[in-house]
Amino acid sequence: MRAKFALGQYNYADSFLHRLDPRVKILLIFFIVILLFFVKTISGYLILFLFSVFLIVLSKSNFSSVMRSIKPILVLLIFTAVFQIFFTPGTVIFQYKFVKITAQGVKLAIYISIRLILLSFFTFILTSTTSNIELTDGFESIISPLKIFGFPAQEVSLMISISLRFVPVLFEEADRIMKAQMSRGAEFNKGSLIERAKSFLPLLLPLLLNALNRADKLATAMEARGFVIGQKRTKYREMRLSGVDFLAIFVTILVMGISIVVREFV
Amino acid sequence: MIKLREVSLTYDIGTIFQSTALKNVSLEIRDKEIVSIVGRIGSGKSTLIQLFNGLIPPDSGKVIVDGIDVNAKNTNLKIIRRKVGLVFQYPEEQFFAESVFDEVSFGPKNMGVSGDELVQCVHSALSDVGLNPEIVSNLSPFNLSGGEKRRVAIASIIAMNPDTIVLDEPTSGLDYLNKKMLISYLKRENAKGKTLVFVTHNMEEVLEIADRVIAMKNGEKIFDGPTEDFFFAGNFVELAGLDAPFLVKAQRLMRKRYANFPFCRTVDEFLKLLKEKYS
Ligand SMILES: Nc1ncnc2c1ncn2[C@@H]1O[C@H](COP(=O)(O)OP(=O)(O)OP(=O)(O)O)[C@@H](O)[C@H]1O
Ligand SMILES: [Mg+2]
Repeated sequence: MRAKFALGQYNYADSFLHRLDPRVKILLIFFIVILLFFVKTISGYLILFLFSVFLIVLSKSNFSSVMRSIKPILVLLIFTAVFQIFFTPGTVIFQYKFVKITAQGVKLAIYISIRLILLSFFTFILTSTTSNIELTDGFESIISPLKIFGFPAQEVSLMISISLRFVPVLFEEADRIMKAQMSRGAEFNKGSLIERAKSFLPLLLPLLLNALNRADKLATAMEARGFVIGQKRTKYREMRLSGVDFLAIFVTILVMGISIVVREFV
Repeated sequence: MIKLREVSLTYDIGTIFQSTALKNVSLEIRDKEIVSIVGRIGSGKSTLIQLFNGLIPPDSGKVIVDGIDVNAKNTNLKIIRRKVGLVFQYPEEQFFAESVFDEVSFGPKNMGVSGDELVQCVHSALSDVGLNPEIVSNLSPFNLSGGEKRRVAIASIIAMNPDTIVLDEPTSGLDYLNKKMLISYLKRENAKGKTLVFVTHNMEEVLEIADRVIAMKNGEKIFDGPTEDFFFAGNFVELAGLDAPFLVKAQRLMRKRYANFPFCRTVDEFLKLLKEKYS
C-alpha cells in the first residue's frame, strides 16, 4: 500500500543524474519538453529518443518502471491519435463509406504519439532521479527571482512541499478509513452512480476533517519552531553548481541543437 | 471461531518499502474467549487482526471464520464482517454522521437492519457502553468528550451484533477512569457471550481480563497460552520486548517465597490477599 501511494517515481539509487543539481535538471528537462513541440523531423525525434534511452540507462532505472510511467497517458495517447487519424483534412489514402483516413492525419497521429511518449520519458528521468524535496527546493530557487514582481515564491514552494509531504499520508489514511468503514459493512463501488457517490461520504468526510485538524496542528508546530512566512531561511541542503552540471548542460544543449537542425533522412 | 493456518504477509513486495508483517502464523480464537494480542510497535498486531474479517488477504496460508474460508473467491465478506466486528485504533477518527444515532446505525443499516429493529439495536449498543440513548442519540458525535467518542465508536460495532469483537488498542489515548470503564464494558460483553480479542500495550489490562495471550515479535507468534503462564511461567513478557507491570513483579516475588501464591488479576485482589493471608 505504502509504496503505491508514495507520490512520484523516485528511484533510491546513486547515479550521475542523481548527483546533478536539481535546478539544472528541472530547467534542462523543461526546455527539452518545450523543444519536443518544435522538432519537425522524425530523425530529430530519433535523436531525442536515443538521448532519453541513454539517460534512463545512466539513471540506473529499470525499464519496467519506465513502462509503468507511460501507462497513465496511454488512454490519452490512443484517443488523440485516433482523433487525428480520422479528423484531419488532407489527401485521402483510405476511404470506407464516410470514414476517411488522410496522409496528414496519419503523420500527425504519429508525431503526437512520439511527443507524448518522449514527454513522459523525460519527466520520468527527472522524477526518478530527483526527490520531492530536491524538486521543491530547486523549483523555489528557480522561481525566486520572480519575487521582485511581487510573486510569493516562498509561499508557493512551501505549499507545494507540504502538499507533496502529505499526499502519501492522506492516501494511507484514506486506506485506513476505508477499511474501517468496510468493517461496518460499507461497500464502495457498488450500486448505481448516485449510490456510489453517497457511499463515499463516510470516506471523504472523515478524511477532510482529519486533514483540517492536521493542518491546524502543523501550523501550530511550525509557529512554535519560529517559522515566519517571508523571512529568510537557511537551507539544510545548499545547492551548488559543479563541473558535472556544466557537462550536463553542454551535452543537453548539443543534443537539442542537433535534433532541431538535423535533416529528414527519408 | 477464527482459525489462522500458516499465514504469511509482506507489504509492498519488490519495493524499497517492503516489510514482512507476518511470518507463518497459526492460531485459533475460540468462542467466548477473551484473547489479548501483545507485542512491540511494528510487530504485526494490527496486520494480524485485519486478517480476521478479510480486510487484507494473506500472501499464503488460510483464514477460516466459522468454517468459512474468508479469502475464497465466492465468500460473502459482509457475512464475515457481521460475525467479526473490528474496531480500529482511534475509531472516532472515522465519524461522519450528523448524529450519534446515524453514526451507530451505519453498520446495522449496511447489514440490512431497518425500522424498529434498527432503533432497538442502536439503543442497546449505546446502553452497552454506558451511554443513555435518550440523551446522546441526537447529539453530534463530534461534540462529545474523548471518552464518549470512543464509546460511540465501539457501540457502532456492537450494534451490528457480531459474535466476535476485535479491538485495536481500544484504550489508547483515554484517561485512567475512561480506560477502567471501557474495560468493564468489554468484560460485560464477554459475559453476554461475545468473543473478545483486543490488541494492547497496557499489560495491566491483559492481566486483568485476558483468558489467553498471544505475543508477537517481528511478525512471528512467540507465545500463545493462558495469561497466567504468559506472566509467570518463564520470562515471556521480556522475550516479547515488553515490561512486566508492577503487579506481576510483586507477584513473582511472592511466588518465590510462597510457591502456591494464587494468581491475582488486580491490585485490589492482591492487597486483599496480602492483608488476609500473608500478613
Ligand atoms: N499499510 C501498510 N503498508 C505498508 N506497510 C505496512 C502497512 N501497515 C503496516 N505496515 C508494516 O508492517 C509491519 C507491521 O505493522 P503493524 O501495523 O501490523 O504493527 P503493530 O504491531 O500493529 O504496531 P503498533 O503497535 O505500532 O500498532 C510494520 O513494519 C509496518 O511498518
Ligand atoms: Mg497497530
